[in-house]
Amino acid sequence: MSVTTNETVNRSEKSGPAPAGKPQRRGFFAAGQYIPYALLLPAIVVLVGVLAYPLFRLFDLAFQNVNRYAYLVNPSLSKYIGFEGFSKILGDHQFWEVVLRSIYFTAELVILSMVLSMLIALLLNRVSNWARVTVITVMMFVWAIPALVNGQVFRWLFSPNGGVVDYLAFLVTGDESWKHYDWFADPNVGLYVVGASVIIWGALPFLVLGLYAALTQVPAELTEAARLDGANAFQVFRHVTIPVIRPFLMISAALSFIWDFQVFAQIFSLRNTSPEPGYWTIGTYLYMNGIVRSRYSESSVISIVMILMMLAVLVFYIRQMLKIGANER
Amino acid sequence: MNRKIAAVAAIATVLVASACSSSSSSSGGDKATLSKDGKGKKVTVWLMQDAQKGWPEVVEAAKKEFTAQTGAEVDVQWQTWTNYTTKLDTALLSGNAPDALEIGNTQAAKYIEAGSFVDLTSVKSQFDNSDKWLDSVAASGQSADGSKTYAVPYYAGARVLIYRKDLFDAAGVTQAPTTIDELKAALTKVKAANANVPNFSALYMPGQNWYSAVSFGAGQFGVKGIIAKKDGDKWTGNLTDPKFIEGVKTWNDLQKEYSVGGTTTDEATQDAQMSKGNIAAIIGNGWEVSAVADPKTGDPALKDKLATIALPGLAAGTPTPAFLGGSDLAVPSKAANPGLGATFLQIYTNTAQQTALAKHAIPNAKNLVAAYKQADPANKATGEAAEGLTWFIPNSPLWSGADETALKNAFGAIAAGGDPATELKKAQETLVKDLNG
Amino acid sequence: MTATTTHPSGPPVAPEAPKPKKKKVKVRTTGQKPVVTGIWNTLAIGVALVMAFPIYWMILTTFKTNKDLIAQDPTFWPSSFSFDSYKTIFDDADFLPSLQNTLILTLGAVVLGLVVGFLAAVAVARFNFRGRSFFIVTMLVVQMVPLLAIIIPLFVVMNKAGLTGSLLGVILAYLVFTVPYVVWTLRSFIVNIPAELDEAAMVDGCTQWGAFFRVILPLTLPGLITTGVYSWIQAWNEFIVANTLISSGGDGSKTSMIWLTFYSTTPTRGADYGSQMAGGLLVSLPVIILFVFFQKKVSAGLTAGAVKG
Repeated sequence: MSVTTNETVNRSEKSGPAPAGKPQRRGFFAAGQYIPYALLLPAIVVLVGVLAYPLFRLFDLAFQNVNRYAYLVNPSLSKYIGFEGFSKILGDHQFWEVVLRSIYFTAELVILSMVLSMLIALLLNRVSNWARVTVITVMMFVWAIPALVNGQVFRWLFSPNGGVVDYLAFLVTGDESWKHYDWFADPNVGLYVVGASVIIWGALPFLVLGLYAALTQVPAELTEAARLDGANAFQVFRHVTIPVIRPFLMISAALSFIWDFQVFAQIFSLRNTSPEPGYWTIGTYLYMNGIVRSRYSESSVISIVMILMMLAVLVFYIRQMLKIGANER
Repeated sequence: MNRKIAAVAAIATVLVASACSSSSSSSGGDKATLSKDGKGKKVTVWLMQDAQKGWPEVVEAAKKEFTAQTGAEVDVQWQTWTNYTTKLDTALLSGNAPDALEIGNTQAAKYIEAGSFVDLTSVKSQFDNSDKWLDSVAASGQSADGSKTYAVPYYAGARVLIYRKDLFDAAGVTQAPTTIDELKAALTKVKAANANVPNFSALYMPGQNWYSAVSFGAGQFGVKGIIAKKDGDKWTGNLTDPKFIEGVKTWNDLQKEYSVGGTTTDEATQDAQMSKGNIAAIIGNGWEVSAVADPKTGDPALKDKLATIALPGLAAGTPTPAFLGGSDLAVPSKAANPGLGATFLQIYTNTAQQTALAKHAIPNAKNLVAAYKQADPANKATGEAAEGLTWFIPNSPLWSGADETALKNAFGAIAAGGDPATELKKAQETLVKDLNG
Repeated sequence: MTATTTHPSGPPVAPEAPKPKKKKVKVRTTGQKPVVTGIWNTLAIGVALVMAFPIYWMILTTFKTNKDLIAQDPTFWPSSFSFDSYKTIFDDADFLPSLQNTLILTLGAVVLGLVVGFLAAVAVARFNFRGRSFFIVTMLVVQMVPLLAIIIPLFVVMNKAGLTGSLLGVILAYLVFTVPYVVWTLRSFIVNIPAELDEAAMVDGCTQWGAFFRVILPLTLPGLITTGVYSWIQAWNEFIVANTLISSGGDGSKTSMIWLTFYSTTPTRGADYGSQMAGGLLVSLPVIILFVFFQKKVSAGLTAGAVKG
């Protein structure tokens, strides 16, 4: 992290128009070194006040053997075991199975949800007003429904006994056997088809509405000018639209990755609160091996390993994202 | 501008500063007393939503009597089962615990081991019927060796066979089956009589209903040391015992022969399924009879067509052992008024309240089960099941929902065609590893 | 920075000569033939139908009578409407108090979250300062921490602060999960506002704050609404933190999500799914109405704020 910091600072010093050594400040508040800190203060106070101890505890527990409730209640019973907890998790072959599955599943979710939401957001820019309001209202509906109720509805939809998805498949194909097709018998179908559709369905409203809002920031003059210069629709999208919405695009992609990588609640609900090992991605692994077993230290270890993995994937992203707003102009 | 920022910052600072100044309240003693000195005090009690919707009048009566005896007010805070263990973990760890609380009997051992509950052994004899508490529920509130009592049984639940008397009658089955063989014969007749009904299950057995699967295992193996037993310090598994596997095979055979669909589901939706009309029998809790015939959740037309019997066993008179689930009541060690909390529990579980409770659930003591059986004809079977041989999960603080998931998944795999011995061995490895820490 | 409605043509259409801006605001399908718009509209309705189907199914179950529920094959329309589920909800004495609690919680979390997040977003979008990168990365890392793994120490902190059992404690906890998102997202909106604009406004004689309110705020409105809606829904639908932190305070201290779980299966009674669905729907309605209301504001704000950037 410190490397990145230095790098950004160096860059700003080299490329900024301001004299070397002085931070670049333009626009508002172009006075006073302390202003950014004053602006950050409320956020920092809240975050530190609420999260400092929990995060410290997360790391503290990771190096202890607090794997039963009694140890948590009576700290004198527990002891520090160094990296033993880490080597136990990293040496668990099931863990690596789960990591691999999480990578496939996350890739599927992020790619599909980003592409679909981009397409829908672009579509919203081309439709009549009434159609757009309809789509947005539906999206809002989907987003607002509590997760507890969502899970229940999807379990009904995909039920092998009178489920509506089976029935629709029967209506379309005319094949009676579809009426009792069990979507969950094969974990690969259950996870990569049913699980993915539940999660993408739930993720689309956020992404579509966000991307749509970002698209409204694309100046019409720019796209029109590009068209006058003979650019086709794809070129306009690639060279005019994308650069403008890039900040939001990157952030939503990164956030989608973060949320999808640790996805848990939807799978848990879909599998009657006891997901089979074939459904375990890393979020479920954390819950089934750590949380529900009251293995507080192992939960911490898994959480930390999970965070490190996400950071490793996002490291290039982060470098890109740090630049936004620093000295792009 | 600066002033505004400063103001925002100041507010935030005050919030956090004030947030860090108050100290945690002191923890109560671990010795149990039954205090009657409650003038001007307020006792906080956590009870689950079941009481709020099922027997609020019993709670009200107990509150009134408690206030009359001690002068203290009672604040009952209704809790939801969803994420309840997380809530208990935090509340029992800090000085923010209620004075008395309800806990599922499969969750008690963890908190007993951690010393989170007040030791009630010395006052146990002052609780009504404490010598006749139902065995499995009482055991869940005791220390592992059974010498100390930390939690008082509250109510119990047992699974029985719920069947469509009309369908059984129509198929020529007029006598309720008393053995597994008779059950099979009856189900064969029912199945044949309804051969033209699509998707018909003579006995619907969802694959992940591990309670009923283990019950059949216990029918062969016995209830002592079921699933796993402790030798000295070490737990050894009994899931791969030939007798247990034998019993599971009986369950699996019934399922293959008489149950359609549901290998990947648990029993949560079986009442709704049964009310659709294509299921002749299920294995369920007593209250599921009313759920199937409830105008909102089921079909009221089935109201007089449902009957219950204890799940038949190997021989007549010895039903297949039922899992005895239920709830316990305990006083947290960190309670502000542990003595008053214990007194509330004493009143809430006395003969009068438990007799009133018997209209809704199996009461905590054997001598009160008679009242329960009289309350409703459907209660007879569940009452008998609770009085007879019952089984319970290994009494270990390390038993958790993860182990139940392992069992659910093992039986789900068996139902889907997996080999019982192989799948049970896999589950046993997980369980034994967990139980031995 | 133009109105939503002025975006030019879809792919198959040849570019047209630019028209004066003000006209285009009204004629939304500029440069797009009606047939093409028709195709896009059909496609959009298809998307809406697919997305809406689970919701439709949920609404259906709240009205279905037993006769429909018991049918062997699912029916797509109830043969008669039953309002039992809604009656159960309205008869439930805890429905309105818990909704009120949820409303207070959510308003607090959204307003505080937007204020705190906006200030921080301005800082990282407009300034270079020591620790900036660290702050941004921390914001991202906070989003990665699994809530269930830190819920116990979180409770300990709140308990020490005397904030358990109070809505304020829950609001503060929600801020931790919404502020990072607000900062990240608003930053991407603010950087799209040219810094020259601030300066120009100031030259025009606005005070710093005047320029701020007249320029930056309207231009970030879409971003503020996006993040506001996000924060709103996060807070509105949150269960675990609320259930864990609000442990004392009697019957009045439920949130709507906690209240909804009371219709789930318990050891002594079956779930009342119809009522749970109806409750979930009724609880979501305020959110949806609010958003539809804001949706108009977004367009209005954009048109008003259209700036020749």
